[in-house]
Amino acid sequence: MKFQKLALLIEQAHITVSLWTFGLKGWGISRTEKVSLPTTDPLADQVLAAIRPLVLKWGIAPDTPVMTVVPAGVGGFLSFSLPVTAGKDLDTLIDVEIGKSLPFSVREVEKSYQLVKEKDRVRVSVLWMPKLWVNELKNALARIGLRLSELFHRAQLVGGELGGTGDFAASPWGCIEQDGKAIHFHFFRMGSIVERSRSLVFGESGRLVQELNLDLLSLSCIDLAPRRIFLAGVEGVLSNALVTQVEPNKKGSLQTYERKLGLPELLLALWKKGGSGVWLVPDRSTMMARLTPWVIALVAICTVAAGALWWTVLGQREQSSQLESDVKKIKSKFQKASSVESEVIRTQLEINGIQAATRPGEPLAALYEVFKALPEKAWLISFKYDEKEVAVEGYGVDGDTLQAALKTNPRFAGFEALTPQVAVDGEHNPFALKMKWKAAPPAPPAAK
Amino acid sequence: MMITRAYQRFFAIFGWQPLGVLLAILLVFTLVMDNLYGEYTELDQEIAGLEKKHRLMKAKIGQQKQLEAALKEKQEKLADIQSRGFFSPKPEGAVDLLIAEMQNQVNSVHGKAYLGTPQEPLVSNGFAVIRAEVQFNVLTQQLVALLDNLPNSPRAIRANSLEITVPDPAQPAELIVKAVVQGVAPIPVGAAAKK
Repeated sequence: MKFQKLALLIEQAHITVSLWTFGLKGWGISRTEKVSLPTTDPLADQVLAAIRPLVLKWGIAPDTPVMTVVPAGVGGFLSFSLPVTAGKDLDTLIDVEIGKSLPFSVREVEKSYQLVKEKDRVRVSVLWMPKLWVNELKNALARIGLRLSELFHRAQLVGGELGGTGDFAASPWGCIEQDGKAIHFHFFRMGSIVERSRSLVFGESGRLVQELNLDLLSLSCIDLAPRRIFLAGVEGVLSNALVTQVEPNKKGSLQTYERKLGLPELLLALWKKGGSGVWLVPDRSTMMARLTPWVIALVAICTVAAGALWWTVLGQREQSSQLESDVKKIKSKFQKASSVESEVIRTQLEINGIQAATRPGEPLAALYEVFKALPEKAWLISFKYDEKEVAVEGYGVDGDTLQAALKTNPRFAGFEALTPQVAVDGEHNPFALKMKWKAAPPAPPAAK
Repeated sequence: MMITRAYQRFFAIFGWQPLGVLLAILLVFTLVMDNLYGEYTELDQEIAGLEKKHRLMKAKIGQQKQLEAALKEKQEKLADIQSRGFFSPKPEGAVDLLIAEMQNQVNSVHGKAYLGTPQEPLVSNGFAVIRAEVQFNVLTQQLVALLDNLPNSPRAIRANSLEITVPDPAQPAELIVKAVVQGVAPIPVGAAAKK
C-alpha cells in the first residue's frame, strides 16, 4: 500500500499535477501544480519531460501509482445494449461489439465498462483507450520509477460532478466545457453514464453550433436528447452563439454552470466515490486482495463460533432460571425439613451434654483397684479421688512395694511418692502415694 | 478475473482501511467471545451449584419422614434422661434437691449425712449442671453400698471427687467422706430463652 499517488490531468498545452496523500481523513490532495506542454497533442515523452522536475522536487517515491486523465482525443466512449441472457459470455459479446465499432482490433485497446440494467437488456457503456498510447505513457513513467495505474476520461469528471444531482440521475443531459482552445461536448445517458464525448478545436463559433446541432439531432433520433445542457467555462462569444443559434427547442435547456471544484479535486472525488476508469491490473495483486477471502472466512468462522457460544449461553440461562424456580418451589419444604434436622441435632447435643454430665464417676472402681494392690496386712487411712488423680495414704507396706504392685495396673500411671502425714508406729510402715487415674474407655455404641 | 479486479480496485482506493475495519471486527468478536465465554463459565458454575443445591434439597425433603422419626426418638430419649434430673424453676433450687437426694442416699445405707454445700451451677444448652459438696460419716461397707447404688438412684448423680479419711488410724471403722457430686437440672424453655 502506497501512501502517495500522483494525479496527472493532461489538458490543452498544460498538465495539472497533484500529489495525493493518505491521512487520518483518508485520501486528500497535498500539492497541485501546473506544468506547460510544448504541444496541444503531447507525446508520452513530452509528458514525462514536463513532470520529471516536479517528481524530483516533490521527492516522489519509486513505484508510486499514477492516475491520469487522458487528453482530448485519446480514446472515447461506446454505448450499446445486449440481451440480459448474455450472462457469463458478456465479456466476449462486449469485445465483439467493440470490435464492430472501432476501426482496429479489440486487442489494441484498454477498456473499462459500466452496466446498466434496462427492461430486458443490459446497457453497456464502454470507456476505451488505445493500448499503444497507454503503453507509451506507462513505459515513459516507468523510466522515472512511476507506475501508471488508472486512466480516466475528462467526461467522467463532469459526470461525477453533476450526474448525481437533481433529475439527471434518470434523464439524459449534457455539458459543454472549454479548456483553452479545446471545446468538449459531453452527453450522458443518465446520471454519470457517458453516452458520447468528443473534443473540437475552438475556431469559428458557427461551426461549433453546427456540430452541436448535429449531435443533438442524432441523440434525438435515439430518444436521448438532453433535457439540459450546462455551459462550463465557455467563453462569452461562444456562449452567446450557442444560446442564439442552437436549435430553438434546445434553447431553454442551455444553462451556464460555474464550476465549484477544480478538475484535480473532481478527479479525487470521483475516485473516492469508486468511479472507475481504465484500470491497469498489476501483475501481482495486492496483499489485501489475496488475504481478503481468508479474512472473510475467519470472520465467518468467528461468527459461527460466537453464534454457537451465544446459543449455548442462551440454553444455559434458561436452564439456570428453570433450576432457580425449581429451588424456589421446594424451598419451603426444604426449610421445614432443615428445621427438623436442626432440632434433631440440637436435641442430640442436649442428650450428649446431659449424658456426659451424669455419667457415673469411678471413685469406687479406683478404690477397688487400690485395694487389689494392697497386701493383706496393709490398710488405708486416706483416699482421695478426683477423676484424674488418686492419692492414698496408709500403713502396713512401704511406698515402693505398693508402687510396684500398682504399676502392674494399666489404669494407674505417673506415680509420685509423698511424705506420709501419719506417725510411724514402729511396727508398720507408713506410705503415701499420688498417681494419675485413667478413665475407662467409652463403651462402644450399641448396635442399631 | 472480474472479482479479483474489483478487489484490487477496492483496496487500491481504500488501502489498509478495510483491514483496520476487519481487525476492529475481529477485536469486537474477540471481546464478544471473551464476554460470552466468561458468561458461559459463570453460568456453568452457577448451574452446577444450583443442581447440587437442588439435589441436596430434594434429598433433605426425601429424608423428612426419617428426620421426624429421629426427632421423635431423640425427644423421647431426652425426656427420659431429663426425668432423672432435678426439676426446679431455678438451678439454685435444684442444687438443694441434689443435696437432699444425696442425703437420702446416705441415709438409705444408714450413714450419717451432716453437711451439704452448694457450688456454682454451670448453665449449658437446655440444662444446668448443678454441683454440691456433701460430707457424711459411714462405715466402709456402707460407703461401698452407697457408691454402688449411686448410678441406680432415681435421680442421676455423679461423684466427681471423693475424699475418704479415717479418723482413728488405729481402729479404721468409721470413715469421714467428703464428696463433690453433680446432677443436671433441665431448664424450662422460658428460662432458657431469657438466658
